Parts: sequence; C-alpha cells; structure tokens
Amino acid sequence: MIENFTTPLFLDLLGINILLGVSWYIPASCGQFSFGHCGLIGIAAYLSGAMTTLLGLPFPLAILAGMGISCLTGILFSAIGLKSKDIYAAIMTLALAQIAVVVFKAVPATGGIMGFLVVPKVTPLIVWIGVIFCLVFTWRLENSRVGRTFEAIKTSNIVSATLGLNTTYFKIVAFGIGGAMAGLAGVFYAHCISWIEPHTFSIWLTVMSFTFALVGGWETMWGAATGAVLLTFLLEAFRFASNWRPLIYGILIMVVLAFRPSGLVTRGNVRTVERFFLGMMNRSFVRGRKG
Amino acid sequence: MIIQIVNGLMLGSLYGLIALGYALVLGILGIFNMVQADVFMGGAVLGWIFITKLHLPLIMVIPAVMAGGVLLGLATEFFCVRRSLAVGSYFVPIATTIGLGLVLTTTVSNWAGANPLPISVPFQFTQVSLGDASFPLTNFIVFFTSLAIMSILAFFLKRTSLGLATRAVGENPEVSQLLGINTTRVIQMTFIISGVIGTLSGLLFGVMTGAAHPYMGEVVGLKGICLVIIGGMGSMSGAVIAAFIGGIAEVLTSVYWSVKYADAVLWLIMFIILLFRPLGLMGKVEELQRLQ
Repeated sequence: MIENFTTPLFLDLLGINILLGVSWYIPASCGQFSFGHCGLIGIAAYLSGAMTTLLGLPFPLAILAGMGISCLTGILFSAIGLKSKDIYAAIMTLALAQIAVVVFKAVPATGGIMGFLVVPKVTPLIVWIGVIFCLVFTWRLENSRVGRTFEAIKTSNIVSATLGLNTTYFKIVAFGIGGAMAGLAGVFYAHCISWIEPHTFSIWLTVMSFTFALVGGWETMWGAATGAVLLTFLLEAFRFASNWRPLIYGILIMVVLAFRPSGLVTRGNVRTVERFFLGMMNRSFVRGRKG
Repeated sequence: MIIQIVNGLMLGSLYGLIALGYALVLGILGIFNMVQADVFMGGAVLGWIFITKLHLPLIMVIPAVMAGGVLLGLATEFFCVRRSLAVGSYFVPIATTIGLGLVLTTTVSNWAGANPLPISVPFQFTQVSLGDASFPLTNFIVFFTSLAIMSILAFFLKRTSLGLATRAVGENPEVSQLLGINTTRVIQMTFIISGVIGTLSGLLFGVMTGAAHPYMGEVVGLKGICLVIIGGMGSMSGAVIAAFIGGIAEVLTSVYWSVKYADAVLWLIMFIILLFRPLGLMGKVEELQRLQ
C-alpha cells in the first residue's frame, strides 16, 4: 500500500495533477471557466514530445515551446469567445479541445491515432521544482494588483468595468497564464508517461482538472492544490476500481456542489490558517524581544 | 454533388434535433445542459437494449425509449439543476450536469463494454432510388421523423397554453410565478421534453449508423452546443438552420477532403462565425442578457 505512494511515477503524477488543478483555477479566479484544458495540455505534450524525440532538441527548449504554444492558443480562443459574453469563451475552449483531438488523430508525423513514443526525461525532482515554482507564482499573483483585479472581475464584471478596468484584457491574461501552466503540465506528462496518443487528451482530462478545483475549493489556489492531492491519493488507494473512476468523480462533483458549493477549503479556512501562523510568528517575535 | 447535399440535409435534420434539446433548456433557464450529450448516448443504448437484446417490435421501442428520456430529464432536473441554480455562477449547473453525464457514461461503458453495440432493424440495407441516385431508407426515416418532431415542438411552443407558460418562464421567472404559473412544473416539463428529444435523436442516430457507442455523446452529442452558438443564443430557428448548414458542410468535407477532419468542421465554422458575428447567425443582444 505505502510503496504505491512513493514510486517515481506516482510522485510525477501527483505534481502534474497539482499543476492541472492550479492551472484550471487561474481563469476561474477571474470568473472564466475552461473546457479546453485537455486541448492545451495535448498541444504542449505533442509539440514538446516531437521536439525532444523526433528532432532531438534539448528538454528546456521543449518546456519553453510547450508553455508558449499553450499560452498563445489559450489567448487566441478566449479572445474570440470574449467578443460577446463570458460563457462564449468557455464554449470556444471546448471547440479548441474538440479540434485539437481531431488534428492529433490526423497528423501522420506523430503516429496518428496510434500515438508515439516519447523519450522519458523527467524525474520527480524536475516536476516538483516546476510545481513549487508555479505555486509560488500563483500565490504572489493572488496577492498582486493583477490578482486583486481578477477578484474584482469575478465578483462583478459590470462594477469593475465602470471602475475603469479593461475587463476583457484581464480575462484574456487569465486564460494565457492558465494556458501556460497547463502547457507545463502537458510537457511533464508527455515526458513521464512516455507514450502519448490522441485518446489521452479527450474531454476527460478537463473534467479531472476541474474536479480537483471544485472539490478542493475554487476560491483560493490552496483549494485547487488540496483537491488535487486528496483525489490523487484517494484514487490511487481505490486502484482496483479504476474502471469506475469517472463515476466517483461525477458523484463527488454533484455532492460537493450541492452541499458545499465553494468546495472543501474555502477562503475562510485559508484565512484561519494564515491568522494562526501569523499569530505564532508574532508571539515568538514578541517573546524574543522581551527575553 | 447534389446527392451529397441531400445526404447533408438528412444528417442536418438529425443535428437540428440534437441542437433543439440544448436550445430548449438554454431558452428557459439560460444554462447549458451538458448531460444532453449523454442522454443522446442513452437513447442509442436503450435502442440497442430494446431492439438487439430484447427483440421488441419497433412500434414498442419508440415509447420505451421516450419513457427513458422522461426519466433522464426528471433526474437531471432533480439532481443537477434544482440546487445549483441558487449558487449564481453559470459554471455550477454545467459542472453538475457534467457530473451526471460521467455517471451515465461510466455505468454504460462498464456494463456493456466499450465496443460499439450493434443495432439492426429489418430495413437497414433497403435502398430507395430517386431518379438515378439511391439513398438508404433509414436516412429518409431519420429526415422525416426529425422534421415531424421539430414541427410538433414548434406547435407546442407557439400554440398551446403550456407552451405559452414555458415561454413566459423563459422571459421572466418571477413575474410568471406571480401570474400563477407553477414555474417548477414548467422547468420539469422543459427537461422532460429535452430528455425525450435527446433520447429520440440518439435512437435515430443509432438506427442510421447501425451502432450505439458509450462514448458517442462526447463527439456527436456535444455538437449540439456548437450549433446553438452558431445559430445564435436563444434562437431555435437559428439552431435548426445552423444544423442544416453544418450537416451539409460535414458531409462535403468527408467526401471531398478527408473523413478524418469531418468531426472538427462544425467547431471550425463556429470559430469563424464568432470571429465575424459574435452573436451567431440569428442571435439578438436581448437574448444574451438573459443568460446566467
């Protein structure tokens, strides 16, 4: 049982799932919802896999290219959708996912419907460096001017527009950042699973990423990360029922949204923990001065 | 060329039916009912159960499949929509309906296997000749059944008092409740109708292609959303017109370019339409403001 949780593959997947949850959370923190994560991940995975395996380019270059292409695709599709209304951007990302799968199946260079072999490159160390970088980035983003703008737009689109914010611009930025992070997850995924095929990037991957965020909590990044960790461990423990995995996800989404709509870890929970740590730090600081 | 356009019209009539299932719920509640894709799959799988496994006569299959649609519609309303409308974000009903869809798909694929499930009807290979071209009889049946269902739906919405109540709830739920309309009942009715339309279109698709598949909703069922967007949010006639254009475009692509790209054509059309007409073909600005 325990040894299942310490294999390099499991550690890789744990990190990748955290990236998925957090990358879905970033557009959601601006009130935008993405169905296209499977497409974004798939594009980055295919491009980086082709670069390292078929062209023999170095891995860091592949990471940059994967993040770049996913970022640009996210920006392009959301910008067109946002011409009319928020929900159109979500539907446009769905279009992205559907088109991407068809293109993956049709391109002969990457094996068409059979998929192709990617030389495995990542170790848990590399993945976790990426995860920690992204978590710190998101944490700083949440507390920055841009993060607070996202929050304002999520709370009320109309009010933030009357306050002089260019809401469309910030929504596109949110999709771009989320896309880049999803691209990073895709690059790691391709170089850890080492066999990628179009079927992997079906809509199911998107459902996975937003289940992490919805179950864990979609008010703060900690919720998305907690959800990813919890669900990854839970599903690894229920490995014998792997055929029923989507059913477990479906029931979890319905139950959590019906009885605790903001997820397990709410903003209030995060504030409590922050206050606790702050209080501890203050006390030790004061005691230190006295002593 | 003309033969292919006729084939496209037949496929388009089926797509129109799928799109109407989405457009109804969208028009009344302003939400996307994602479980519709799996209701479509459910209709085809019910067809497989009743035709291939139980050997029921066709005349009994249709009411049985419709009954399945009623149950699925009621389940959607009860489990996914009733609580989640109060949360306020348009994503919550989408997520809960996706959740129910996952439950349905997983149950079916674990129970019946992930392989195509054959549906064979006696007239499957019968050909009808028109002039010097011949078409499968099933395509004609699909075409005329779809047109009949669309006309019944239009009659219901435009001419009956329940249809009037439905449109009133779509316009303004609070005011229609004040005027004595039982809004919960009307919403349930809408979900029942869209469930029945969904299962019937699934059955027709299964009969036309000769097979049902647990994952067919993901590819074919979701195209309904795309058609609703192309036609314009809240405009049923727009969705039907978009469906006919889409059906013709898809058939022409698969014949003259490559079958591989046929599934992406509708989404590409949506991409281009939204680039030049952000509201869709027949959308109105007022309809957009009703969206959740």
